Amino acid sequence: MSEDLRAALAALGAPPPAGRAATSDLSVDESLLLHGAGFEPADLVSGVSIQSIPFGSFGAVVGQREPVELAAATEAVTGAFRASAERLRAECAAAGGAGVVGVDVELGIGRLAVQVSLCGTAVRPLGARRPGGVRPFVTDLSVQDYVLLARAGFEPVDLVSGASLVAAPLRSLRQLVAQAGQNVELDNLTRALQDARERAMERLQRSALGAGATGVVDVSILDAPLGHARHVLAFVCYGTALRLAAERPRRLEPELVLPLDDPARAFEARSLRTAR
Amino acid sequence: MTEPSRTARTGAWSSALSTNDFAATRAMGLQPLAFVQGCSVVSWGFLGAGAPGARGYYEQFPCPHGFVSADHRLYGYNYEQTWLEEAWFGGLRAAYDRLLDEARRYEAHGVIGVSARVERLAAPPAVEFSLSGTAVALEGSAAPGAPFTTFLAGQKLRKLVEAGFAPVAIAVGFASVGVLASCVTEYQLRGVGTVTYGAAPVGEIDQLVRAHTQARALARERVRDQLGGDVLHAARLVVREVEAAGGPQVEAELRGNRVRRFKDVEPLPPPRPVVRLVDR
Amino acid sequence: MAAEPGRLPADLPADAGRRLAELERGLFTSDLSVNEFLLVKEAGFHPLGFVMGSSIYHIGLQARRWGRSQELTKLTSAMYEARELAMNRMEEEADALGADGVVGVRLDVNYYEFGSDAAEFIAMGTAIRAEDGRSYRNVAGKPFTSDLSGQAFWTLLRVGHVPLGLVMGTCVYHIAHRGLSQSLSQLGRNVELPNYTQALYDARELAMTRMQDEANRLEASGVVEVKLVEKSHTWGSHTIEFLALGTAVAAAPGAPPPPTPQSVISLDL
Repeated sequence: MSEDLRAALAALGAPPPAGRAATSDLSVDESLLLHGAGFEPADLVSGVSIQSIPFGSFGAVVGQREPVELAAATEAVTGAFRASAERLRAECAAAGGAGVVGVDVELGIGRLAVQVSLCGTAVRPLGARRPGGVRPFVTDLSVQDYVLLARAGFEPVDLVSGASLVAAPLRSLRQLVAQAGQNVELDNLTRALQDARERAMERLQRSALGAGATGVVDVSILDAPLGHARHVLAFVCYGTALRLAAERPRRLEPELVLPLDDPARAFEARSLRTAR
Repeated sequence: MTEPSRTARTGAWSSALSTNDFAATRAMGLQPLAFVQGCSVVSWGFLGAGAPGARGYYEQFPCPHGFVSADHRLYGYNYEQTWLEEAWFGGLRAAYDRLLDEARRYEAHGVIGVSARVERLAAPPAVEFSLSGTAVALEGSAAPGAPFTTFLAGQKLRKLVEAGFAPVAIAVGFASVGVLASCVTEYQLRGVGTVTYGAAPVGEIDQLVRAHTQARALARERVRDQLGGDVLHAARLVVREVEAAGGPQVEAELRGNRVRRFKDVEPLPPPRPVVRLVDR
Repeated sequence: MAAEPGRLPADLPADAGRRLAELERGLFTSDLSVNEFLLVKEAGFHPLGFVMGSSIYHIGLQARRWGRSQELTKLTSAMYEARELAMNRMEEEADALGADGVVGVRLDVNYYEFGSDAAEFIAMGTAIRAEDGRSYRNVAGKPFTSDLSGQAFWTLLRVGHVPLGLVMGTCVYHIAHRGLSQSLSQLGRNVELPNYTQALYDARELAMTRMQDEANRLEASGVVEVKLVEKSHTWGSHTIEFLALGTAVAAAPGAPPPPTPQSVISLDL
C-alpha cells in the first residue's frame, strides 16, 4: 500500500495529463463496478424543469361534492418529469455518454409550480464515444443495480412517471363522514381514491409502453396530501422502464451465506445497558 | 495569522478522524500530524461591479404584450451575480490558503477528511467559510510541492489509491444567478401581477428554468477550470433558491475531489451475488 | 385463470380494468427493488404487475363502559372488514392477471382531513406467476398473498416451503380507566397495574388466536414473520387495536433438501 501511495504522491509533482476532464458523482465502489462492466464515467449531468400550475388550482371549488382530478396540476407533474429527463438526455449526448445512471430525483409540488430536478452521472463504454443515433438511457437505479440487471440480460430505457392529483371537497366530505353510519365503508370516497391511484399507475404503464419497455422496476410511490393544501391528494409514481437486451433473461444463481458477525453494539456511558 | 500553539513534532497530535478511518489511515502508512483549519468571513458589495450583464451570464426575457404601464416591465432578465461569486471565491481561497499554511507548518504531505462548511450570516449579509481536516505525512517520503487535499479519508481514500488515482485537491465551484422576473414569469410565480390572462399560462416557467440550468452549468464550468486534465470524483451538487426583492436567486455549489490517474488498473472480476441470511 | 377485462368484479374501478389489460399483454410493473426482482425470477417466478386495493372506512367509536376492560367487538369487525376489503380487491386484481401469488404486500392506513373518524386502508403488492406452469394457488383457490420481501420469498422456497397466504387477526380492546379510589391507594408505590396487564394479555391472545385460525383454515404447517402491532388510530390512549400479521407457509411436496449456507465473516466496518 505504501508503495502505491509513494507513486501517487510522485504523480502529483508531474504535470497533469491532457484531455477533457471527466466529472462524476459516483463513489469509488461504484466506479470500480462500472469499470468492471466495461463503462467509465463521462460527466456529471443534470436536467431541471419547472412547470406552472394555473393560479387557484388548489383552491376550493364552490358546490363540489365529489373528489375531482386536477388535470392541469397533474399534467404539470408528468410534464416536468418528461422535460427534465429530456434535458438530462441532451446533456448526456453532448458529453458523449450512452446513458445516465444513479439519477437523483427531486420532486417539489408548490402552490404555483412543480419542479423536478434530476442529477446523475453520464457513462460511456470504456475509451469510446457512444454510437451516434442511439438514444441515451436514463435511470434512477444505482450502478450496482444497473450492473446486476445487465448480468441478468436487462437494460434500462427511460425514467417514466405517472401522476394523479385529486382535490377532495373537505366540507362536504366531513359531512358525509359524520352522517354515515358507524363502522361502515364509504363507497364513493373509496371509489374516487382508488380511481386516482389506478390512473396514476396506468399513466406510468402507458409511458413505459411508449418507450418500448417490457417492465418497470423499483417504482417509487408518493401517496400523500400536499403540505400546503391538505385537501389535495397527490399520487405520483416513477421508476425505471426496462427491456430485455439478451434473447432471454439469464440466471444469476446467487449463493446463500451466513455471516458470522453481529451488528456493532453501542455502549451508552450513562447506563450499564448495552443497546443494539 | 498567529502561530498555532499546538506543535506537531513534540506532544500528542489530534485529529477529527473516526477510529475506523484512523485505523485505515495508519494501515496505508500515513501518519496523522495535526487537526488543521482555515476560515474566513466575507461580505460582498456590488458597487463598482457595473450594470447586471456587464460581465457573465445575462439573458433578457421581453414582455410579449403590446402595452406597457408604469408597473409593467418592458422585459425581465437573468443575471449572473459576479460580485457575489468573486467574494465567495475570495473567501474560499483565503480559508483554503490558511488551511494549507497550517499544514505546511507541520510539514504535512496532505490534508485528508476535509470538511468544508459554508454558512450564510444574516446580518451583516456575509458568508463564513470554515475548512478543517487532518494533516498527514507518508513515512519515509519527501513532501510534494503543495500538500494534497481531499474530502475522503480512511477506507474510501485507500480504495481510491488502490483503484489507481492520486488525490490532488478538493474542488469547489459556485455560481449565483439572480432573476428579475418578466411580467409572464411574475404571474406564473406569484399568481398575481400586472397582467391578467383569459386562460392562465400553463407550461414551463422559462426564465426560472434557464436560471437553474445556467447556475448548474456555470458551477460545473468553474470546477472544470480547476481540474486541469484531472478527473472530478465523488462530486455533490447542491442547488438552493434564495428569495430576494426582484425574484428568486439560484445558487449552485458543486464540490468534489480532484484526482489524477497514476497507474492503470485491471478491471475487477465480476463479483459473486450472495443472499445473506441475516435480518437488518 | 385471468378474467376478461370487461368483466372485472364490480367493486374494482374501471381504470383498473384498462391497466390490468395492459399488464396482461406482457408489460410488468412493480415496486420491488432490483435485488428482489432478480431473486423472484431466480425462484422461477415472473412478476406480472403492481396490484392494489383500498377501502375508506368509517371507524367511529362504539359505546363502552368506562370502568371495564373489554373487547369492542363492533370496532374489531370494522377494522377486520376494512382490511379484508382492501386485501380482497388487491387479490381480485391479481386474479384478473392470472397470478399465482402476490409478494411484498404492504398494508397501510392513511388518515385524511375528512374528519377524524374516517381512514383509508390500502393493500399493495406485486403479483407474480410461476414460469413452470404449476399452480401455486392455495386451498381456497386464490393467489397466495404474503408480506415477504423478494429475498425472504426466495429463501423460503430454497428451504422447501411455499407461502399460502397473509393471515391476520385483529382485536380492538378498551382498557378500563382505573377507579379514583384505586388510584389513590396505590400512589407512590411500585406496583403492577393488573388492569392493564390483563387487558393487554387478553387482547394479544385474541389477535394471535384469530390469526392462527386463519392459518389453520389454509392448512398451513406454520406462520413466519409474525408482527404484532398496536395502534390507537384516532381513538385516544385507552382504546388500542392489536393486529397480528404473518405469512402462513407449508412444506412443498417433493422439494429437495435445503442447501447448506456458507459461513462468512465480513471485513467491512
